[in-house]
Amino acid sequence: MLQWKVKPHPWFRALVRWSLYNMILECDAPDYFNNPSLRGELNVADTTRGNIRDLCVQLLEGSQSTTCYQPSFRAFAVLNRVIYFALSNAHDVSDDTDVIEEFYFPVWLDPSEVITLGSQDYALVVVDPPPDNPRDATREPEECLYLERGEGVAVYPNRAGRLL
Amino acid sequence: MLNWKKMPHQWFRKLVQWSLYRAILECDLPMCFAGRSLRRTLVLDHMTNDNFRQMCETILLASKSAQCHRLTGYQAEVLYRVLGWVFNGRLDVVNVAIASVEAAYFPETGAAAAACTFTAPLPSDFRLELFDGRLPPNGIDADPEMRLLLHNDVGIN
Repeated sequence: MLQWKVKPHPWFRALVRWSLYNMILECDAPDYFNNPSLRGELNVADTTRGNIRDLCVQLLEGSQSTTCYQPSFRAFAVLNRVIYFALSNAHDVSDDTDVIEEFYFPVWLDPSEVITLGSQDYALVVVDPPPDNPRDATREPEECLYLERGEGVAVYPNRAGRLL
Repeated sequence: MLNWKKMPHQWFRKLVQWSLYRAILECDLPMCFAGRSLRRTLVLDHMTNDNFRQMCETILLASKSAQCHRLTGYQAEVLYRVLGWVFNGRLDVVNVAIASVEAAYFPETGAAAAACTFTAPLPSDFRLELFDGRLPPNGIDADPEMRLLLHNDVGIN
């Protein structure tokens, strides 16, 4: 587990795990494809695809462990962008998913800010687990992904796939 | 390895494996991607998501093996559709790339290939069968072949 603000519910752990696998595969894309610049997508400087891959593997292993690990401030910021990269292809998800940051991320970095990773960012430190999550596991995905903040308008898909 | 029409170059083996990994990851989508289904996109209506995932895993294992395995018609058609999906929408890959790759590499599967549009897979489609023949050598170097198949509008037939 990673040291989120609170203990993550299974839906969020699944999202983090999938987003990291997705980014690892992006890093492994054949180089004869004209691949998008991951450095640009994640707004990281002085970093190779291999560096990004190494960091994602590290975070993935940490997130799947029963021990709790604390990523660095910058590693958390990259993870935040990795999740948004994955969610950018989820059509039903609201554009306004800052709630994920508010609920889960212990740190926040403006997306426009360039991240420069150092060697210390690839190490995870063992820490105590985060506090229990007070929110309902079944309601939390809706709050994080499908609600337009401020307007109170739900955009949760119904069974027919239409937005409510 | 798979029983391609000829000995595959590394770039092609890597493409096949990466495409299959992508397809497997699509089968494991978290709930927030509800409504997105690669199996439906590929019109594999007679397979479940688990069927599709399992078949991709089977083909992936075979493609990574040092031994050569024979694709069933169903497996070949699923792999063909997965590659077409990976090519689709890539501005750097020409529209005829999937047809060129099929002509260059895919074994003849005859009517069996169409089966996956109309019927469910058989148990044998989830197994690997060893191919005891030898693949013919590849008559073209890796780089020109890759450019010819992926980036050449004329394609090959």
